[in-house]
Amino acid sequence: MSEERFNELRGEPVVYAIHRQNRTFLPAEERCPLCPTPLAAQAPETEIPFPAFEIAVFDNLYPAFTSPHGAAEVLVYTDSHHGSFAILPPERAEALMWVWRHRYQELGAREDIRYVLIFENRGVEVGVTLHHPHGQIYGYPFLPPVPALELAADERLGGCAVCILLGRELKNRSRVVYENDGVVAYVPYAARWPYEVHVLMRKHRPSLPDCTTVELRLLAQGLQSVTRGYDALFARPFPYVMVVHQAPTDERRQGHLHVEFYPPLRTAQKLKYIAGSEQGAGTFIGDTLPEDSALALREAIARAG
Amino acid sequence: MQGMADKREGEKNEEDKRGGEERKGEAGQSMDEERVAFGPLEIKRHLEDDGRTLILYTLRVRAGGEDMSEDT
Repeated sequence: MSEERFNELRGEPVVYAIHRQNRTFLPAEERCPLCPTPLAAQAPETEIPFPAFEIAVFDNLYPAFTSPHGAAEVLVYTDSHHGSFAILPPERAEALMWVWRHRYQELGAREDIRYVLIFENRGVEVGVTLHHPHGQIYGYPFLPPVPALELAADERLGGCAVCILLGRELKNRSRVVYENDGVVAYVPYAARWPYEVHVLMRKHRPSLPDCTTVELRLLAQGLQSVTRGYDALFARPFPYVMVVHQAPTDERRQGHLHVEFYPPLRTAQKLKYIAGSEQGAGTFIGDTLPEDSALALREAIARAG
Repeated sequence: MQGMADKREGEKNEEDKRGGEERKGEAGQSMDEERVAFGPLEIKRHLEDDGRTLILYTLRVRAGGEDMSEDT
């Protein structure tokens, strides 16, 4: 059972899930809990006791949230231990968008969940503990601070902030790195991370259930193009945090579906750290201009195809 | 809370219940299984002995191998 406390100075909730201290940490491939049923009788039991599967979702064995105070799920992209979201077959990536949609709807229908966050931590640089390609889904029993800030931006800008920012980026174009008929990807004007990218729905879609079938396909294509470009940028697996921002599920307040990437690399070998100014003052200090990052990413995405 | 009601209704409309059944997991544990269709996906839901839920998603395909996304 987790415990939620409120940090008065920061004005934000903090969740203590001390049972997570003992969660599985970077196991060898033959002990991966996300692989299908192992053939060797002495191998440990998998979380997915089937000889093969396409996409699997299960309740996290070490949850940050549990019913009736939220949810924590693991979303496994493939039964193959190797690979990444970027190189999933296109039809699998598209199917994943439907899984996201299903989990958003089902978890969002629960009375104890106010916000559904779908995310992926990729790479040990961002703290991943299992290498098997997977993401996670948290159902928060409260509206977390970052989505709340996005809703506050709507009020501050007098309309959907994402729509307004998208219009600015399409007019300026210097930070756009990818686009198709359904989505636009760009490095934000005031990106916090050197190669931060936001992938936005062109049309105002508060959440995945509001998207058409074609838009889901185009979203998958856009996300795979961006992640393949990331891997091509420095010719190495590119670590990132990927988060899906949507409307809160407890009321019909407007959000705008978009996916944000926070990659920690500032060069092929150097990390951007959350240090004094970032933690102590809440002000990110950038080493790279977003326009320069966008130029490099555009070329990398074109190279990756 | 109107949005919640809307979403619940939408979920009912999108899911096509195929009925439940019980099966034995590969590892021998008893699991309750429920199958539904959701867009192009078939969903099999298993309740494991420890109370946690495992959901398996499979992309449905036409006989010719074409996906069924446009049907939804």
